[in-house]
Amino acid sequence: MEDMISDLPSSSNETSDRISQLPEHIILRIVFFLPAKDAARSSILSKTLLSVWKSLPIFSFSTDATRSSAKRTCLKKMFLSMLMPTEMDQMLENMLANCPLLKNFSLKRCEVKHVKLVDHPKLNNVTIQGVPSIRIEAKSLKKFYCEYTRDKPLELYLVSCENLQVLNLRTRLTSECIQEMVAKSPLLRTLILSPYISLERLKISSPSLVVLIINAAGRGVDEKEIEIDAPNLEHYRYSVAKGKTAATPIFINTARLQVAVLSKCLSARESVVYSLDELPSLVRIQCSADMCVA
Amino acid sequence: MASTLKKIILKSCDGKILEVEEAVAVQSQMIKNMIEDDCANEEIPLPDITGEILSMIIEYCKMHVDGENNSNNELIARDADFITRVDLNTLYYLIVAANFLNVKSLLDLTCQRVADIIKGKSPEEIRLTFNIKNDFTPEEEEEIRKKNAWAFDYKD
Repeated sequence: MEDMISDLPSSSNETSDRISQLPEHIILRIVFFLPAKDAARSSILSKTLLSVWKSLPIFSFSTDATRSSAKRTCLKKMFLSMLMPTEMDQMLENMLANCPLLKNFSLKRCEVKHVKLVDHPKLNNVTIQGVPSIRIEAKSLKKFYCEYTRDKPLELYLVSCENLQVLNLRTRLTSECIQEMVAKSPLLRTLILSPYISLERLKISSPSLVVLIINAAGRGVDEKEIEIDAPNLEHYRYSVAKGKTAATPIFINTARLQVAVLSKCLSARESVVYSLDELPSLVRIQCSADMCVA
Repeated sequence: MASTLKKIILKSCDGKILEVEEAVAVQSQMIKNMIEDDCANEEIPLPDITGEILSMIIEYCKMHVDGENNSNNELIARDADFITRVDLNTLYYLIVAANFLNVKSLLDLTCQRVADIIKGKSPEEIRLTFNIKNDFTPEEEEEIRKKNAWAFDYKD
């Protein structure tokens, strides 16, 4: 590189800052081609580059063989994480439309109103945070994590995601909505629910479910009952926020349950003891200090 | 089409006249628009592009037109060969010209090249390479480093 510099004509004008002189959309394009770490580091170079970095909606990006944007159709992973108050929806839609081979998609801390993931036949793993309306149509989808912690209920449509194996939802949900999603996912193995607003009553019925985790740290009403009908369930974990009463789990048809981890389940004591007889495979039950099992 | 053999005449800012086949010239979206608007019948003056840079851009466009039937890998190899021959100063003028003429693939190639030069370098090395003046106070710099601490951890 030093050879290159010494080759340059040496008038004082030629030693001026070449990058900052470029139009902003070009600097943006250069930063866009950088790996995430280098792109973030570029923010420290000068005020011009800091302002470009701040306007950059794309956080991390990787393609199969080439990083050229002309070859973006090869894009397999897309990780977006930045505030972009204006026109982000349209931009995201255009970007997604150009990425038919997308496998992993992640969207965090972006001001997006709606995410639609259709026509991505290889879509495998999706993480979306803070988006009020989501529609996914992807037969190939295996893992889905969604977080939405505002008061307005999340509009979530999972259409023909019949191969879904891991579903992790951290949002305000109704029991019916959860039941419907579970019913439409015949291969579901892991279900993690962190209801932001607690559910009064929850019913989980899934023949394929192996792991069920419920983090009932939400505000509002406490769960009164959790009814679990899952013949292949092996691992059940339930935790509740400090100072709240825990729900009573009712295990129906859970003969293969091996591990149950229950924290702060004071009021659940009797019912757990009661149901032990119906859990022949249970090898470990772990409870927090304020509960003891006879 | 008979029009594919038509020549487009381009004039650089230092007075060089270059005759280019239409098929090559339309790699530039700007010239393509001019042809469509019937504004390309006389010589087209390019006020910010020197003859040297213009010749390089034409070489690049010609390479892409001639190489249309080549495999993708071959074109990528030729692109790489073309761009690694270019020094930093020329690279800058190529970017400006590719932007003005709107040759998208060349703009991508040149921006990618700049990114490749930046990649893996420390901020000090990058400033030195591109003559970027640090206009932050040490406090401001520290603040930005803190905000993006993950990026300034040089473990990898």
